[in-house]
Amino acid sequence: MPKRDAGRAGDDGGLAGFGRYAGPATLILSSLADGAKHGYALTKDVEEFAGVRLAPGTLYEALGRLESQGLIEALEPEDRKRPYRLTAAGATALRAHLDAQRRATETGLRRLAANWGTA
Amino acid sequence: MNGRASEPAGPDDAVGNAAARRRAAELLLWYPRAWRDRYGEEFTELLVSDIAERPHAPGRTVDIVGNGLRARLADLGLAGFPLAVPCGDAAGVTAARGWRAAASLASLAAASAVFLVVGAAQWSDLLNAWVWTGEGTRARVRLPFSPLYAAERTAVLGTTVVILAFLALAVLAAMPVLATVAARLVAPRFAGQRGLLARPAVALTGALTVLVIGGRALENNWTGTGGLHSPVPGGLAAYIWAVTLFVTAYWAHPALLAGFPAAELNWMMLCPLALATAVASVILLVRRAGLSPRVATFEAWTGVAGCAVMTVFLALWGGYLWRVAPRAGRLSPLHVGLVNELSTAVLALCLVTGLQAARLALRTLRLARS
Repeated sequence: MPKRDAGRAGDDGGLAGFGRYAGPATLILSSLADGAKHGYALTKDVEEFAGVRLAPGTLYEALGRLESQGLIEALEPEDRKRPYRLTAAGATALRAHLDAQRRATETGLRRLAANWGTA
Repeated sequence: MNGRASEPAGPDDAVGNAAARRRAAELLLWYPRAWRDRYGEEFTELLVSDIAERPHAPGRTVDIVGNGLRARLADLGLAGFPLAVPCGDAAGVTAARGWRAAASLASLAAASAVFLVVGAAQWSDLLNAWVWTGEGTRARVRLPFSPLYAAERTAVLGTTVVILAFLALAVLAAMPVLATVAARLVAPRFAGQRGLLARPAVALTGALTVLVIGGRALENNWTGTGGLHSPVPGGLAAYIWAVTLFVTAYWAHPALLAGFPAAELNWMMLCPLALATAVASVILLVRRAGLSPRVATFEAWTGVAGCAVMTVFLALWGGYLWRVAPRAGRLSPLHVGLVNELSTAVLALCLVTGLQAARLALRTLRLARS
């Protein structure tokens, strides 16, 4: 179980310590993997590919955490909107996180197929 | 989805845009100033677009209030993840950790100070009443109440020892901070630090002067404290009773309050202001002094010891409040009421706050060392 203790996130450089912000952080990193975006563009992109609307407060809390871990970086503002960009550390963390999720997903699907049949 | 989803309000929507900006500005106020300085402009732009797309979204307000309060807790050093520092900025990271540890220590100091004020107010009431009703209490020893009397004596003497220990810890914690403040006043570390420290230092001195003069003038003003001339604990209890005179149920009984002498009523309004000024000044001094890592670590561990003492006090006081006093009934020296229960809730809140602040301060200091 990931620790809810936020400060731990800095120790491993990944998303393990993000607690309830791990989900939004994953969506943000996935969106930024496609290029730098500002807050509203991020919200719309996440809504489009995941069907989830990130609330503004949650979005900025997750952005702040990701930035403080060096997983994303802020660029110069454009017309009062500041874009954020994925860093190399962020790409590594996202890949590791998604790999772990894929393993869990594949295991779940395999067991479902073996014991419950296919839908 | 309406057409505004992908096209936020433009010049044609001047009225709607102005309303959205007003609403965004209101929502932004949930966040602390430092957060607003860093994210305010871009967050406002996001909110304006969001409000234009979804004018009525209670979930958005709830989300912003929750995260804004969390950011305020982080600003006070009571939650993780304060403002981000650009990656690779080693000096910025060090400065941010120092600031964060100072914020946690300031919150720890504030929680301890409020606990001391409210706890000592309860203790002084109990001790004064216990001594005042001494004859009746001693008489009870001969009655079948003797185990009850023993429990009462344990509560009174136990809380006395704990309050004295807490005061000693407070003095121990204050000395290195005051020494650092004095050193920084003589040789500031950055331009303007002298002014930043001088103002709260003067305010603290003024508040403490008011509390000493006012408390000493009024400490023997009540029949119950008039005979307590031994310095410890009787005199101390009488003095604390005087400087915490505002912690009373009389506020709920204006008719009785109106019968108080004007000087006492004025003091009941002045002493909380003086105490609040003293606590606020301590917070500012701790945040602005730039404590060395060694002093900060000492303060954090003294705070941990303080939390242990607070826990013992709460256990003894709670035991008296909910076990001993109800059984003693009308023979109880202290008539327990809502004000005591509210005070106990404040004490518990201070303990939780102190523990969280000490925990985060120690963790930040550990990260800074690594």
